Amino acid sequence: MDKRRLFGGLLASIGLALLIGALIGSIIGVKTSLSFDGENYLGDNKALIISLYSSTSEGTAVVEIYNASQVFYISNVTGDPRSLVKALTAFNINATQSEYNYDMRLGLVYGTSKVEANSMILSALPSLSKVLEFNIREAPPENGVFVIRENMSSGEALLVFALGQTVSYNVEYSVSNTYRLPYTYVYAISGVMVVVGVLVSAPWKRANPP
Amino acid sequence: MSLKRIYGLLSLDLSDTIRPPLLYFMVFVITLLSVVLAYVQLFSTTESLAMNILRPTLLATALFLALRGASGISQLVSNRVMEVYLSYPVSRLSIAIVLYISRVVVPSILLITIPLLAAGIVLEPLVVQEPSNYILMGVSFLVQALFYGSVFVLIALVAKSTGTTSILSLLFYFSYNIIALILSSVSSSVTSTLFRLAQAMSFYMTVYNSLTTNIEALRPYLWEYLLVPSLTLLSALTFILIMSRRFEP
Repeated sequence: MDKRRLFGGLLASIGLALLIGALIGSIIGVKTSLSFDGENYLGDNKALIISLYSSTSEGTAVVEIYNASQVFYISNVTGDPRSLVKALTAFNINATQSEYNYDMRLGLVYGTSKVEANSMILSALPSLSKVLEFNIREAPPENGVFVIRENMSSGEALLVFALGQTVSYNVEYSVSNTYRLPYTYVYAISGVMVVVGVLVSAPWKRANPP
Repeated sequence: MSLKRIYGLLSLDLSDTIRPPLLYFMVFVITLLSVVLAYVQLFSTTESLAMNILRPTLLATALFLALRGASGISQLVSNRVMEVYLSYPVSRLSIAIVLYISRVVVPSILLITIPLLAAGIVLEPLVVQEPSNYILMGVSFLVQALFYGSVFVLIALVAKSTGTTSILSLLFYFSYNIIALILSSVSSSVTSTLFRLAQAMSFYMTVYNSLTTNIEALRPYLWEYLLVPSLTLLSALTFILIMSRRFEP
């Protein structure tokens, strides 16, 4: 086995793949933000849970709630919010309608759940903090709008509980860091790898052997 | 002198296992896909990066180990090259170790390390923050690949036929993974023994959980860390033992 040719061939293959991969990456581009909004009629004994879960990314979430009577939120909790919503059934808070999406490019799971429970339980959500082992806080309104702004690390979830007859919301999530090497650097590294790989694996022969 | 002969045999057998141009093509494809995946998805931890890049790569590695590594041993037997190998003036133990390195260890290292390296170049600002976790995740996937490879070469020794080895190896791979999936599906909670067993069947999941969870109840137990490495060691030793003592081509 010619180790020199094998090494050169491998280096050239990696370099070429890196070059083409970077070109494809530059065409597709990076997604750094997401926003979604909606309006939900809830009625009595119901609440809307807006969930965000940064599965692989990290960023800042801003959730604005309009026309709500009370808003509570759980932030910086580890785990998938869908499991956390399911866990609330232990307190007779049952999800009746859920809709979740996974944005793979952004590394974010987001969605809403309508939950049904006794209005007394819903209004006293912060008192469940000790039992649930995470802090449920009440959001103060600012000019009639409840605004929650949270920095989210990878693997953390944010759950916002909105109580009211008809609740509308606006959610924005923006990524704080993409951690990518600039494309020019990747092109340069891959180019060097291809050239070195080809040079190393080329069948050089001595001119005019003695 | 003996070491030189062993090295010669290793070099000879490697030239069959990692024979270009198939190797170049495979390295090109898995590196390209890993780089594109690293570009289109956002990552903020080295563990999630390694997990997302190496999970699909592990499948490709297992297929390579089954179809080129283990089947290659059966082919050596069927076309009587194994008899030539065994006539080399080196001990049978050395031949068994050489075959294990050539058919399992080297392809696993190449196919796991290269995409990890390429994704590491693309996301260099992230990887330099926690290089130890990135390497640890790579090692955990390597151990899992070695486990599959060790079982596949054991199957090859028993089957001695290229087609049967390929089919049985792939059957083992899919059965193993589906059993893990069934165990996690039927488990009552994430802290139950069944769920822990399902997670422990993939060594990289155990390492990933230990690196990422901050909940004490979800931390893996010692037996979870030991399950796949000890099965790997056991199957590798069994292969070497059968090959060096009882194997008749």
